[in-house]
Amino acid sequence: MSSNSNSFLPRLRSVFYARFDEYRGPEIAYQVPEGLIASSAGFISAGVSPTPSGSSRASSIILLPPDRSSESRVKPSPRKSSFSSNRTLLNFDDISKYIIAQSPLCGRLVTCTAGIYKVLGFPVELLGNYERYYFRFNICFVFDASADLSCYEPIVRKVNRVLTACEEESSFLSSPETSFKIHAILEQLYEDLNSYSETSIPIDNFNSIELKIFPFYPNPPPVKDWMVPVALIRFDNIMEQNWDLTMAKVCKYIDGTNHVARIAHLADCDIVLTRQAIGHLLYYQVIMTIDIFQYSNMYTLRKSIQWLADETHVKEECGPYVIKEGRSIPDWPKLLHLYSRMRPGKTIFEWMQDHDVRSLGIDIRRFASFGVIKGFLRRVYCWPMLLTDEIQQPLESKSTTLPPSPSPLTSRKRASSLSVAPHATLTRPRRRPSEVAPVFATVNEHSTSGTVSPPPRVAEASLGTLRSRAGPPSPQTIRVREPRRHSTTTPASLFEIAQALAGPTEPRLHVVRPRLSRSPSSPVVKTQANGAAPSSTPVLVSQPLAYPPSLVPLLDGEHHTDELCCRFEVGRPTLERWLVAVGEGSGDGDFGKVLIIYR
Amino acid sequence: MGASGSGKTSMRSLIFSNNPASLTSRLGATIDVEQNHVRFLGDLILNLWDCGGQDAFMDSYLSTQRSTIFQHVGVLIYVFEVSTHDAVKDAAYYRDCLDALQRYSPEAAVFLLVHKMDLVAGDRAALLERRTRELQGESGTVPITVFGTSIHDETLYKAWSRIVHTIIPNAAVLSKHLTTFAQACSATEAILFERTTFLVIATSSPPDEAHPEQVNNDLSPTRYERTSELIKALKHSCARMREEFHALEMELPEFTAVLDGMTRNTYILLIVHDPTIETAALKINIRLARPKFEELQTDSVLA
Amino acid sequence: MALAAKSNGTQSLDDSIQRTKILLLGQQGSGKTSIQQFLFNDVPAKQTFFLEPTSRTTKHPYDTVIPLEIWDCPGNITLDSLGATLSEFSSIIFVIDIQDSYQQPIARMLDFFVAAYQENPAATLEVFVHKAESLAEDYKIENFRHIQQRVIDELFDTSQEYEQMPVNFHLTSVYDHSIREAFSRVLHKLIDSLPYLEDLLNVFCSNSQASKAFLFDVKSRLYVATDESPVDASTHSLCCDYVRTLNAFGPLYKSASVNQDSRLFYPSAAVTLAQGATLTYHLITPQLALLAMLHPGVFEERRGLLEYNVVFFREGVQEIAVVERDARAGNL
Repeated sequence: MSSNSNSFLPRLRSVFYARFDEYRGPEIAYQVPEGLIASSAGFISAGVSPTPSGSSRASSIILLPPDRSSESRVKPSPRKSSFSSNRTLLNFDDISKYIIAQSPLCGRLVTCTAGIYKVLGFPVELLGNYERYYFRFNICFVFDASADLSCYEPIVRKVNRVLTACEEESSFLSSPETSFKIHAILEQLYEDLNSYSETSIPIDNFNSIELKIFPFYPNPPPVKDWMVPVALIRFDNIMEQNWDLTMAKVCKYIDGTNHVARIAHLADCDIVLTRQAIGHLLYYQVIMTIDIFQYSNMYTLRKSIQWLADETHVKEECGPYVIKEGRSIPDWPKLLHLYSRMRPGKTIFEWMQDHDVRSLGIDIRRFASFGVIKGFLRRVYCWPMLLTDEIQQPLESKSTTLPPSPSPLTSRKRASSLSVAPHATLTRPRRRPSEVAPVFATVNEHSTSGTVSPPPRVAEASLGTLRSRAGPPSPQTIRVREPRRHSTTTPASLFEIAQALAGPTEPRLHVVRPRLSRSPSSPVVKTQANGAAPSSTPVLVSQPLAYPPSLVPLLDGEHHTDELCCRFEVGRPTLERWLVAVGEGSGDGDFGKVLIIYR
Repeated sequence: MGASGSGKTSMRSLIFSNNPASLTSRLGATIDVEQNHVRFLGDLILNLWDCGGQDAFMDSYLSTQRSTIFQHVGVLIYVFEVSTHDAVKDAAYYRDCLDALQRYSPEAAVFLLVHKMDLVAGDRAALLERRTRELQGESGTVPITVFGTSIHDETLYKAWSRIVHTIIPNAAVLSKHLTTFAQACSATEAILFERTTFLVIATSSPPDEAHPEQVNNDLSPTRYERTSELIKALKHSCARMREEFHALEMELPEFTAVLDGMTRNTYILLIVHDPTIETAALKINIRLARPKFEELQTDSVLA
Repeated sequence: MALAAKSNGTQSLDDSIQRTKILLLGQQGSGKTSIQQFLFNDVPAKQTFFLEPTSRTTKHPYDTVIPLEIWDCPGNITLDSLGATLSEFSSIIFVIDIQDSYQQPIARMLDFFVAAYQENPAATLEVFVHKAESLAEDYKIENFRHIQQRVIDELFDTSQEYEQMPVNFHLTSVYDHSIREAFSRVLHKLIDSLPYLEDLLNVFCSNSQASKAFLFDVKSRLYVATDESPVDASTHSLCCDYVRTLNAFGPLYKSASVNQDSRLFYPSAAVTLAQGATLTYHLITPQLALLAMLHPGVFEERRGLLEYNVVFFREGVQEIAVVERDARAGNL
């Protein structure tokens, strides 16, 4: 019986070998356990071994005599009647055209479901010196219809591939001298895969079937330098002497605050190897990744908060996790309220100030990462983009690949919420006449009065047309950076809507105005915790600062600030000063020609 | 239908897919039923069901698929291998199929092809005679037509020409017009072929006035099938050169002949024995007759 | 009528004239008789399988542009049992089965070749590596090369002077047109008047806008001459098939009751291909036909001119034939 550790693997109900006979057509030549697959023609398990006990698997390989006289096959075997009882799983005739399939299906995995069972096979069609020019066979595996067969797919593929090789080399399957051995192979496959999830079956001097079932996970998303891995298990428990060296070094620095580039630096490992190590951990789902925590970050709630807010594991874990030791834990509604106050356009620092979060004894970093890990909070990244005449052309060509605005239809329906909708989608300068180098209105978000700088009407108008021209977007092109566990495509949440209704609304609702970044005013910078940047006050930057020339091409709206910080190994304030310099803006939220998109 | 390996798919490939006989050995066995829609004469679509002959398939045709297979059958072509390895089983399956056909499509015409005649050494005619009698016995009251065929000679074209002849509506009208046309051209004979398969659709009846019995009786009796086969082979040679066969004209010592496209889907072969008639004249006549035959064909197919 | 007289004369296979002799050698079962029957008796490729082994040397006369005599020998023939001196033969063809072990045949072949070379250095020595259809494409090229290399090596080993021996190799099969192509090439070397025929063809091609022209022997479907443009295998095989089709068509609609006066009649035919190119066929002498691949439009628009050219071509070929015949008669 299957051992407990492998209980998540689907149980193998039956294994059978089907082939195409020149005169009788598709038939099951051998099956293990016997008689489970019925065949109305009455030729079931023609060459069935006379040793019904399939347990002594190794020995039976040699012992089986070739019972292949055509007489014995044409005559319905006396055992046949007993097979047609209700023991049978399925009827071969119903599915034979998918087992011994026509040429287009051959060489592919074919799954077919018959009743409550599922048959996984890999039809093979071999060209060769055969009576009918082709030799067709298929080793099929039968499972419950509900089973997830992804881990068996490589197994089925491999078994058929190895047997194909044997047939090509020595006519192993088609020659009557050797083909009876298949029965023993099937027996061993059936027993071993169910019991040990692995097997090793020697076939001849050169070929053997070596199988091990691995649980199948989807590939993780590519690891980026600015991702912060968070351990989901305790590594010290499973760490072993003979682990991969890089892995051992990297694991030490996974603490939920270090991002990948920093881990590589701390562990003194090559960045590529570090990325691979982290990717490996991600594959086995023992870590997950979150964003770099900074006080200048912005977050917003996801739709999933609707149901996650009521989940006990969220409610109960949140308080103890986020509150500093020794402080009393506020109740969940209070915390939830705080979460709901996080909005695009409002940095963590501002949010802290507004709600006096510190007094509650909340560890802000943990507070934010808890939401991200649980999947109801989402980081809003800043995507700086340089608007110059020179790069207009590349931008234009690129604009087709750029994500379209996320669901303008739904946006329009709840137009009032648009001013709060975080994705400044319309800022794509798709078709901008050269005369416009628009300066976008800077809306200071949380001030109700809203100091709106005079917006150029042309820009408005062109944006309006742009918006109306934007077709319905396909959800998969929306480039919302999300933690991978949830795939909510409309990030606007009820909270946002509520917020929007309560908050100030723009008069021209259909034109969503991009909110430029709040200026990195000095107090913020000074209190920034990441400490990477020397704090300075870029309130008034009068003369251009020296910035790395390679920064400019990256300002195409496809690289967010975390990425840029990571790449140039600078802190956020430095980057912002550079951006001001690049855009020739006046600072204090004015980046000039650099547009910041929040998504 | 027919027993496994009797040559059903080979035959189909030869007639409808323009493959040469030498390539048929490369065909694999047919799995279950391969359905083919063949556009014949343009608007007439033949739905060919090529049924795998292995026992498992046959059993399923006769049991679970019985109503599907034998419903709405226009023509049943049952292929027997002339030197079969298990005649008793073949006959049993044939009887069962015939029963099923009588039940679901009683009007269907039945053609029996005794195939692979080329493998027979010795007296083929006598053997065919004997097999025909046997098969007639098996068939009981059902009217059948038996042909001895081989993919390596013209007999297959003869059988298939006869088979399609039963399907084409208004074949008699076509024949009548061909006769008129042949007379107008002073042609001994006019033969209409289908374009892709080169099967004979219609022939002119012998001209009555000039030399009533002489002329046609001394022409070779297998000439239609041989022509199909020859032209098909020539077409194939052209295809190997990535060229497409278009028209042929011959002034041979024995006769003058013009083979040219008649309608979109047919070719006409005019055979003239009068040496004074130029091929160009025949070609003009063909060109002039085209609209009429297009019209006729449309009528006949629609009818 | 000169032509009629000539055709009567040659059809009777007059023994009085000097025939060009071709010797077919090879191991038993290598396919000598198959080749001979396939080419000159129109035996279908499949039927050659059933041919009986040749037990004694048979001489097959054949008339084409030159009168030939093909000697088909049994597999075990030796120099002594041949009953003729090797110097009589203008060409010696040795057939090797591509699948056989070729050690023994090559040794035998070299015996014959060396003897022939010593007696008559002008004789052409040909090797047909036969039954090529039985092997896959890669293998047969490899085997062919191997045989070729081996023969050359052994010749060189025997004596340095044989390095110059003119041995030609052909990869052949009766299941495609390679045997016709190979035999055609053998034939070309035996035709003394070949340069003149080729000149005629070249002139015809350039004046009739023909992309390719062959002079075919109608019955055996060998080409005796072609123009200077390279022979493309597919065009060659199309022409072969075309001639075969026409040969087969003739008797098909033959009517015994209609008696034609065919004395002055040269059959012709034309097949039009889809792109407008035309393959024409004109009988030149009773044995030879001109096949020309014409550019699109030529046949429809300039048919008169074309036929005018054909008439001149025909006269030229017939003159050459007459000279050839006189020369052979004079040799007696």
